[in-house]
Amino acid sequence: MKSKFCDCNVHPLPEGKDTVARMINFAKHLGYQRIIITLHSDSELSPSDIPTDVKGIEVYRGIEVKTQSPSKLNGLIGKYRKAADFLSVHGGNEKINRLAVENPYVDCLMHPLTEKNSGLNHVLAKEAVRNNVAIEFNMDLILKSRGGRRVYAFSHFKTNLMLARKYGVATIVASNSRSIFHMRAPREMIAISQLFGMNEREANDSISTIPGEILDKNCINNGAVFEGVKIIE
Amino acid sequence: MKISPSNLIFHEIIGLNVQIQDSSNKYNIGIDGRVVDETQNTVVIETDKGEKRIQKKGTKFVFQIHYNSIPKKVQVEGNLLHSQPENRIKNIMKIRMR
Repeated sequence: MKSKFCDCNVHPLPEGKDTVARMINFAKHLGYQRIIITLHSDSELSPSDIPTDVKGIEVYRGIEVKTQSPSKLNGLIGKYRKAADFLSVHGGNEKINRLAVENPYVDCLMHPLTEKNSGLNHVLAKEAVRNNVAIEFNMDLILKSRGGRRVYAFSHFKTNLMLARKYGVATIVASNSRSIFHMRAPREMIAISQLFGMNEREANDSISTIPGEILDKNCINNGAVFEGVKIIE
Repeated sequence: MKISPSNLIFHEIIGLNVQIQDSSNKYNIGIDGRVVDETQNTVVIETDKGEKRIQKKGTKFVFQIHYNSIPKKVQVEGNLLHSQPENRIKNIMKIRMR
């Protein structure tokens, strides 16, 4: 079966610069078959505002839970889990990263890189495998930043990739774009992810198969109650 | 607690109608009947041709339950049922605690 390419992390207007419709059209133009429009949990837009019946591309509703206080994270995840096809956590803080990978209701930990380190270690990697949480490599860090920040981004991505390979963590490559000019075509994304050591197959999987599996698992029409239990009729 | 698709794997399954959809033993596929007994590793199903003891591991069961008085078919991986029935109920608390 031909794999469907999916961009998992695209932020439309209140946070980004372009409207939802424009981003969907541009993703279609780039050759994506699926797109997840991600809204931050503190966004003004609600997931029901995203149109899902678009011709030529499958549109999914995603929510990125964003909070500064670790104590509120689990509550927010419970609140948004049913509304979203794809639930991710805005990482970047050691405590938040830890809580995100320990929660089986989370699909993906977005940009785990902290200011000091790569944001992952062997403990978090093991937890992520146990709870089926994927780790994201956000391409905007490579494409938008310059100089030292980009160098450190490459080095941290390499560390995360090494941990992911060792423990078998699912990886996702996403653009994390806030404008259509930061979006890249699937083949370009695969090429860029090869720069920090991914091989072609891994990169291909992390942009098509792994998001696809997560979405199929989460889709309400699928009838899955949780892993291994499914309503047939 | 009433039986529902979400608590089925922690619930008492004796008395439910069940069908075997997939199994590592191909001769078990298609067995249809009522659960009459259960151990840690096996389920005993009463069929027209007598009682059949089926291994839980590697088997896909389809249970028929009534949820909110609507008949529903729920597919369950047998590996999830792998525990003594009296101990399975404890797992629901573990899930909630997480």
